Amino acid sequence: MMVEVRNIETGYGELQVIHNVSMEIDRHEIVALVGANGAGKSTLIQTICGLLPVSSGTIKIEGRHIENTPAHTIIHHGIALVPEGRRLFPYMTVLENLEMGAYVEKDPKKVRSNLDWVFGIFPKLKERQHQLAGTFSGGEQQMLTIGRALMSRPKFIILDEPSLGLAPVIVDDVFKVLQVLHKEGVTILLVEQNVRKSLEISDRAYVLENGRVTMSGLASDLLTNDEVKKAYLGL
Amino acid sequence: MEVLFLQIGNGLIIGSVYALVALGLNMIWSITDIPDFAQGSFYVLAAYVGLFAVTLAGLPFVAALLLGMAVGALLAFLCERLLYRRWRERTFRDAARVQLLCAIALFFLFANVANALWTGKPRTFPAYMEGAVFGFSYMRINVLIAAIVLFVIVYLFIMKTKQGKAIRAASMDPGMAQVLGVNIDTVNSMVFAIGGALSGGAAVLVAPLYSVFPSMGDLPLLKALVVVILGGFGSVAGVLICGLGLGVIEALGAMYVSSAYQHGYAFFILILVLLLKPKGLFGRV
Ligand SMILES: Nc1ncnc2c1ncn2[C@@H]1O[C@H](COP(=O)(O)OP(=O)(O)OP(=O)(O)O)[C@@H](O)[C@H]1O
Ligand SMILES: [Mg+2]
Repeated sequence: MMVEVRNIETGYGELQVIHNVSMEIDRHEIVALVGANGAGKSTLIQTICGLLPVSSGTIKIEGRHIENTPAHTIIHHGIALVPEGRRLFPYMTVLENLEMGAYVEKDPKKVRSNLDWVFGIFPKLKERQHQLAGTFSGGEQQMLTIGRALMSRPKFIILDEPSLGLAPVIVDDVFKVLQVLHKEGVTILLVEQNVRKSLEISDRAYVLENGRVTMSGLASDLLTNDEVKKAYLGL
Repeated sequence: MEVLFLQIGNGLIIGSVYALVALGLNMIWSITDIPDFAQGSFYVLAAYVGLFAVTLAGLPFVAALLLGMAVGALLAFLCERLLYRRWRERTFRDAARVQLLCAIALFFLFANVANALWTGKPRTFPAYMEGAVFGFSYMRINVLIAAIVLFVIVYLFIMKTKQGKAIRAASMDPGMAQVLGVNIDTVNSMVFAIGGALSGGAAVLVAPLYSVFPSMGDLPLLKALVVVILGGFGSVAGVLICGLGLGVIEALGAMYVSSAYQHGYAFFILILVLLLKPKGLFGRV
């Protein structure tokens, strides 16, 4: 098992957002996390990444407990994050942002080869590597955010609305990249505005409502589920 | 004409002292959100350490300078490690206010420790070098040169090294930097140590020009605060330009207007700039 979330409760100070949520992701799976605005998807993701403490429950990555360990140690478990809102380092160059993605990699040769790999996926980043990230367009920034996450060669990547605000063509690019990663054996947790598309490429899915998991199962089943159709597919 | 040249030169020299203290303050403030007034007292303690290194231990000036920087770095590091770190927004309501009060308390505490240990009597820091060019003693010129060298070193460290990049990343988005493996505690320690070293270095550099006494840190601290606010947070170049500029304006003001207001110009400019351009004169680096 790549990820095992067991009965976690978390939130912001007094405000509890996530109630007794459990979730499992197997190695090499793509799992979609579906939910309305404010359902708690980003909160759950931040908790897995160690940015928010759990008030109870456990999170295990490949069998090892990571709940309430310091946020900067989580990456050593092979987790990478494409956060909501991109969160690039705007006054750093494209190259420096990518280097930050491989911050924990001590071997410069590996950093170099990871960089070549990312440049292979996003050639545009190579052409513009000395530009400040803050001056990139939205689509370019999104590529850079994904590229930065890939720089640590993660086993498990979490993407929080990676295609938000992107033109349809670029959204297709993003989904293609996800499929490439999937083929390379990377485990993926995906939150997407475009629920249909995300269910189409996912193996399984969880539906989050008001901080609780209300449904879960094979993505193909959820695609044909009436409630899901009505609530999230606009049918 | 010659007087003007001398005044500008002296302005640059005193300005480089402001700039050094301001650079440390700026880095600490912009990265940890702590206005570390205690830097003003590390300045004092480092000056005494430098003085004793020369007078009691008979060390050469360069060794005294390095020792002063080391003491400044160590004190700043310890204050962060043992005090400021206890109050974090995430775990402590009103952390910012407590940190501010702590910084002010430390400033007075250390200045009073210096007073208690070594009395308020100004002590002469022996000259370490003879001679002058264009009317400037070598010791004066050295202050400016050393300040510029220190600025370049800090700039290269921040821009080129892995640690420096981690510091910059953490200043822009600490949460994201952590997710990428940056330990914020380590970043804070580094930034405080750098700040302390710069304050300590500035103090020992300038000590032979004036004298060493317990309240010698007050004015450099206040001027450095003005420079930080004018220079814009997070801008190394802005701090250098504002620091030197403030020194020159003070020197010229003293010459053409009145030397009675010499220490008032900084605050006059501060108020003026804040009214016209609330974000400071410069953006980032
Ligand atoms: N920093 C915060 N402090 C306090 N409350 C927050 C904070 N961030 C989010 N919340 C609240 O937590 C709840 C869940 O927010 P969250 O961002 O996790 O939702 P989401 O499912 O990601 O929504 P969206 O689809 O809009 O991104 C919301 O009610 C939100 O107002
Ligand atoms: Mg969200």
